[in-house]
Amino acid sequence: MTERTLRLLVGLLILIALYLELPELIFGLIVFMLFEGITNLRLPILLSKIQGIDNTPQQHTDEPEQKSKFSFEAERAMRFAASALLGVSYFVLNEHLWFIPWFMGFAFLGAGISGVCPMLMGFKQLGFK
Amino acid sequence: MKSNTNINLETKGLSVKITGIVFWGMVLVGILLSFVMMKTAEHDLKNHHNDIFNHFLYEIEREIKDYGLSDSKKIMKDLTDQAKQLGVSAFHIDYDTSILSHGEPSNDDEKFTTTLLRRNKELHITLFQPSIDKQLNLQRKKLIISMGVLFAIFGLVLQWILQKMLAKPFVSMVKTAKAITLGDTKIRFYEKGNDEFGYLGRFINEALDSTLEQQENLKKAIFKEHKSRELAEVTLHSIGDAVITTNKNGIVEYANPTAERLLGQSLAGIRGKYIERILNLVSERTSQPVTNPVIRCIHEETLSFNEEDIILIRKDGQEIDIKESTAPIRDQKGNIIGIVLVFHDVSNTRKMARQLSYQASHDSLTGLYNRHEFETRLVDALRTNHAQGTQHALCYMDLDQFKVVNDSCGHIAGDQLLCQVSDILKKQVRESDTLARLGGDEFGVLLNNCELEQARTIAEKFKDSLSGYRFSWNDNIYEIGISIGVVALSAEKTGGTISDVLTAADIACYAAKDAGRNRIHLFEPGDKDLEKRHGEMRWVSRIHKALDENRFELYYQDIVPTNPDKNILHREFLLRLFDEEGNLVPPMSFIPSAERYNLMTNIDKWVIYNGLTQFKRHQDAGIHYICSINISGQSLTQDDFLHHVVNTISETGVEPSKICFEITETAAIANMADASKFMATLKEMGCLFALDDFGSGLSSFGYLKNMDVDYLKIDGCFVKNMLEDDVDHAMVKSITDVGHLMNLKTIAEFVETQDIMDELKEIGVDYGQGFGLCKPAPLSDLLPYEEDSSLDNSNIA
Repeated sequence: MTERTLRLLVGLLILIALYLELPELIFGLIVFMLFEGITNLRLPILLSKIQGIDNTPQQHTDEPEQKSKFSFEAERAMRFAASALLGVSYFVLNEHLWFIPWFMGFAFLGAGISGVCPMLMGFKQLGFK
Repeated sequence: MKSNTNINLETKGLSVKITGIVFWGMVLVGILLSFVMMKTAEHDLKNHHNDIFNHFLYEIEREIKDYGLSDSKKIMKDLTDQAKQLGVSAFHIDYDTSILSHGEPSNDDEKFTTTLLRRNKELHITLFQPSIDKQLNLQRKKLIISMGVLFAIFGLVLQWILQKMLAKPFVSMVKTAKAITLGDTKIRFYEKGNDEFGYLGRFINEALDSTLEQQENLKKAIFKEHKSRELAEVTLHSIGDAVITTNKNGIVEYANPTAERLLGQSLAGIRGKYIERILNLVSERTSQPVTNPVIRCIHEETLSFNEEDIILIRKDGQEIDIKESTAPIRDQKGNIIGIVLVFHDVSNTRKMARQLSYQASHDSLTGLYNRHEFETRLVDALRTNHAQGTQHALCYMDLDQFKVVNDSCGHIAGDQLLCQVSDILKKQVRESDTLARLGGDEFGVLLNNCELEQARTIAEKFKDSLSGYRFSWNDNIYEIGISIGVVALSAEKTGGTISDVLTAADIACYAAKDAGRNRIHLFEPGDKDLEKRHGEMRWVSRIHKALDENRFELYYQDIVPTNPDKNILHREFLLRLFDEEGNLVPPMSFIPSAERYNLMTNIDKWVIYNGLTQFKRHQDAGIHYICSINISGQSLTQDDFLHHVVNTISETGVEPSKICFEITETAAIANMADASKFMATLKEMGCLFALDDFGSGLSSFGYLKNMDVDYLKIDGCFVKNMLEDDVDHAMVKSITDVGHLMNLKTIAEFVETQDIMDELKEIGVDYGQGFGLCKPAPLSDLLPYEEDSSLDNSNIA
């Protein structure tokens, strides 16, 4: 599993949860992303390790490598940001920001399909690794 | 690998960028469109939501009006359809006792209640419909999902199209470029499309082909250049010539292995050094340093070589003969950029040339100059004599007794004698003089800047130096003398040509020899002896002419046996010459000249051929005698003469036993080896031999032991006075006795009277010959009736 696949999967789950109005699933996804962000035990890495594939963190993004300002990984930052945004827009300000979860669902899905994640690119532009 | 990674990133980056821009563009467009549509939809939904209850009330009234309240079934059916159509969750209508109800309301449904009075009946109407929030939420979901799916599909399609139209060809081009970068020269860009990629592909392919062709040509040119350079280097390394190149200032840049070997220094040791420091050249002739050829070439700027013979002196002092040439190296503009010096070791060639030069100018046996060199120097001397008026002289020397040593002791002894005499003479000449062996036992000395009297003094020294010399060989000791003719190189005295000088010297030498050997004779014009020699020399051409014109004639003189019963008549063939006027020339007028100038062999051949031919006719005519023919000492030494005699005997068919060859005692002894060979060959055929003039020359009875002769002809000087002189008588008798003891028959010459003949008979001499018995007469008289037209000298070599 790659990060791209994971993003595709997360996007689909968000959209399913929104459509079927499954706040538990949204919550679970927020927790999952937070866990990954905090521990850096990301599912693609773990699965690769289990399968015995050398999948050391490498440039999975489709952007040319940039010189990073911080040692913190952009993938982890993206997970923090996504989980926060999803949590706030879905559980706190849903009446006004109801469209954000939908947007995030499609964004994850689109990132998975296209291989381009604007948020990740943005974090990398900011100097994350 | 880094470049590969970059290529991957770049190609993927472009694809991703295209996809990302398109996809996210579509997402943004979708979102904006969704919001716009959402506003309108929400407004419509709210209006619709508010109108539903009124609309439903209107429908109830219309139903009641149309059907009344009696037909409840029909009303229920129509209202249910209408409720479904309006999205009403449930409704309740109470009138009288009847209730019309449809659906089950959910907890969050909104409830609308009203009471209508129709046909005096109260109708309590309760309507349940989904809340506006729920409907809005549902509306949003539907819109977002549909828009999301729509734009996602549209985005994917657009992405696919762009991928195919832009990204894929571009990636293909990048892959092709990558393959080309990795060295695949066969791969080409896709160029069949009619779009910009096709054009770009064709353009790049053409450029690539052109580049590859240029590259290939360049490779070939480089390879060719490399090969040429390699070939040139190998050639330079392989050739036997030494090659050194310098820059235009004479600083050494390159030297091939031969140059290293000849110089005795390595390239590393001489590179960068000035050429004059490593090339030390001197002239072979003067031993002085010569101009360095490289420096000369730098100044002259042309191909040059040294005419002089040059010696290279190596660093270790070894000297090597070399031949060199230099040439400037020019660039394409013709400017000199360096000098190439080529030289090779010519030590062997020069050594050989020196040897050849030495051999060409020196006598191999004695080491003295040879005749050719002597004549060359003589020509030079004559030239300077005429031009500068200097006085030179020439000594012509002939060894006495050399022939005796050579014949009695062999050629080795003769050669040894010549070497020893040469060494003695060498010590007597000045450095400026030229001592040469002119041939056989003849020597010449060219005395430069020497008056005739001074030359005479030097000649005396030569003679004196040999006077005490004795040649020893096999316990035999020979006294060697020398006869010297001295000539001043003067046009007035000798004539101006080399031939005149040598002739004069030769004549003077023979004059000295004739005067008794071991003497010196100065050539002076008007000298009687020399005039005699001149006369002899004139006979040379006359003899040749006489032979050509067949003016010789054979005479005969009987050799009468003292006892005709025991011995057969002999006839000696005598040669006579008739001059141009037909006058008889006595033999002693031309024989000495013929002997001196080596014409006797030709004359002997003529005698042999003509004598035997006539003798054969006599035999055929029944005139029987033994013919005696004289053979000269010169002829004995000629191999071809022996062949001539043998062939003539065979051709004429005469009986060899009827031929007696007469050889003078002196000639036989002087040419002992040749005489023995000659006699042995003809004796084997059956010929007879007589030793002529025995007793008057180098008489020695000892020689008789070694000479297989049949007759001894006692010299006439003993015979003619034998009646008066007891000594002569005794000599004749003793020779006769010795001869008889050796089974030799004796012949007495000069028998001028019958008394002498009688006395000869008395003492046992077998034959007598002389005017008293028979005067010489033409041989042709023996057969007077026959014309001797067939006889000539055509068979004489």
